[in-house]
Amino acid sequence: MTAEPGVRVGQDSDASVIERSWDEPEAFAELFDRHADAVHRYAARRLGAEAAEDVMAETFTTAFRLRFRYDTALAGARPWLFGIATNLIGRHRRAEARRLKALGRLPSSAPGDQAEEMLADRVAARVTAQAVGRELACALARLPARHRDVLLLVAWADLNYEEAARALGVPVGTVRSRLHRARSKVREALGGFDPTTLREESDDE
Amino acid sequence: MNELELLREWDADAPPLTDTVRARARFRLDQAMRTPAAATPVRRRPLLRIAVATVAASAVATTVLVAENTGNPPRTRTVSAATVLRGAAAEERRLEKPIAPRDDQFLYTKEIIKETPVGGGPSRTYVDESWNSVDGSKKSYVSELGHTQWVPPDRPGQRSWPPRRWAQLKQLPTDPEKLPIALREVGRTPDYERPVKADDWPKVQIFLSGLLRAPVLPKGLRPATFEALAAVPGVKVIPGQTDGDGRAGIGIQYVGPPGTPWVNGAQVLVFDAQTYRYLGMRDQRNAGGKTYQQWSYVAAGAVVDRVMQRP
Repeated sequence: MTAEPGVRVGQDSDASVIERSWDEPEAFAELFDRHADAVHRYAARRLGAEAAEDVMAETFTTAFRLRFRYDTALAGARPWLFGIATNLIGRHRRAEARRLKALGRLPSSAPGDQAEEMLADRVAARVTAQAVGRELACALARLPARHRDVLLLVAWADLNYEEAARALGVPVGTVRSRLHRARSKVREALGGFDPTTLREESDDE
Repeated sequence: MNELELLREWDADAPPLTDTVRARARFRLDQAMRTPAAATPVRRRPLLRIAVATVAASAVATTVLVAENTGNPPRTRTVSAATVLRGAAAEERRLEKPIAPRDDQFLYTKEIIKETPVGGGPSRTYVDESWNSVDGSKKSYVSELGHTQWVPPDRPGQRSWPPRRWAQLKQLPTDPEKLPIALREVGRTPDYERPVKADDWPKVQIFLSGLLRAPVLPKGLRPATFEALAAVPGVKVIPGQTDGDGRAGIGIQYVGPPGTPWVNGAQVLVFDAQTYRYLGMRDQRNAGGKTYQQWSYVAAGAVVDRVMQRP
């Protein structure tokens, strides 16, 4: 149904699909099939289910409207789509803040049902992450929106620095500095040390 | 593990993308691709498993094995989707009890969902209890497949489907001929003189199916919804259905026109084979590379004064 991100064997690039949609609008649906899951997951983590549905749907209708502006020299459209999604999420700042505050108050939850399908070390990682979910939510809530955008495009949308820069329309250096500050704040909120004690914090920016 | 890795692992209570949400979003894109300026986004409730009825194209047969309580072996008789849905409406009118919730109260619902992996494996049953604010002014507490979350009150201008506010449900006509027109123009003043056209039915059908998923409705609205659904082109009878306990039932599915997201799928409304009483819904869910068959039904619905209070 939906292609795995990055799997492009025997597939046209996103850029070719977009270019084709210039003449055949319905071709654009291919882009939805490829990326709807990832965009929805990103939006759902930031805003919850209700707004995520809207943001995901609107990301693709907006992208469709803007398809003639896409630079087809860029093969993958993920940064473009996540940039649109992030802009749309920006309209929900208060809802995001409310959600993060609510998550910050809720008791940290046990891992979900999906955990049993994961490998053991993934489960361990998830357990740890869910256990400090409250602290993470509080830390995210306190970040300036532009820092949060960068951090979550990297952490949740899985974009690299260049892609995040393209998504937000800012220089790569700006992404680096915002990410550095955001990570420091989150690290502080977690007590300034690695809560998992699995290994020491690495300075790998 | 550093803070970035922790963030990556933290799911932030995010629900997975359901087939229904995907279909609705895809439909919005389809609409935009056809008429880029005319797409009217409609906000809907969180976490709807519902609403989008879909169908196997082979589901055209209308001969149904009906077990009649006569002591004789079951015999075959032909029923139409309209017969089943009108029968369901009559049964609902006989059984339904009017409720009049106050604005400061909550609608409590308990839904049971049994999931079975298609590729084999043990079934799993979820009990989802939810409390929805009657006038939408308070936080609601919603459970889906055991995943619970607080849902904040609607923001100004935000619309949900089915409507979260009882007052909005009360505004809907209980006349089965007017209901599809009101749903076609939801959010506006309906023009009852203008009949529903072929292009309107997929949208109307989504809204009708969505209404049926609301566990509690004002008196007369559910029967009207069944009767309105009987008029939707593409609604078919699917024989040989059973409820979660294996009792014989009759299925009703919607087959959308080509080019809509509803030409394939699995949602079936199941009705008692004898009385046509509505029993529940069969559906499919894809998650983590697996497909699950779902059977869901509403076990309880009531008005309560506060969240976490049970009738």
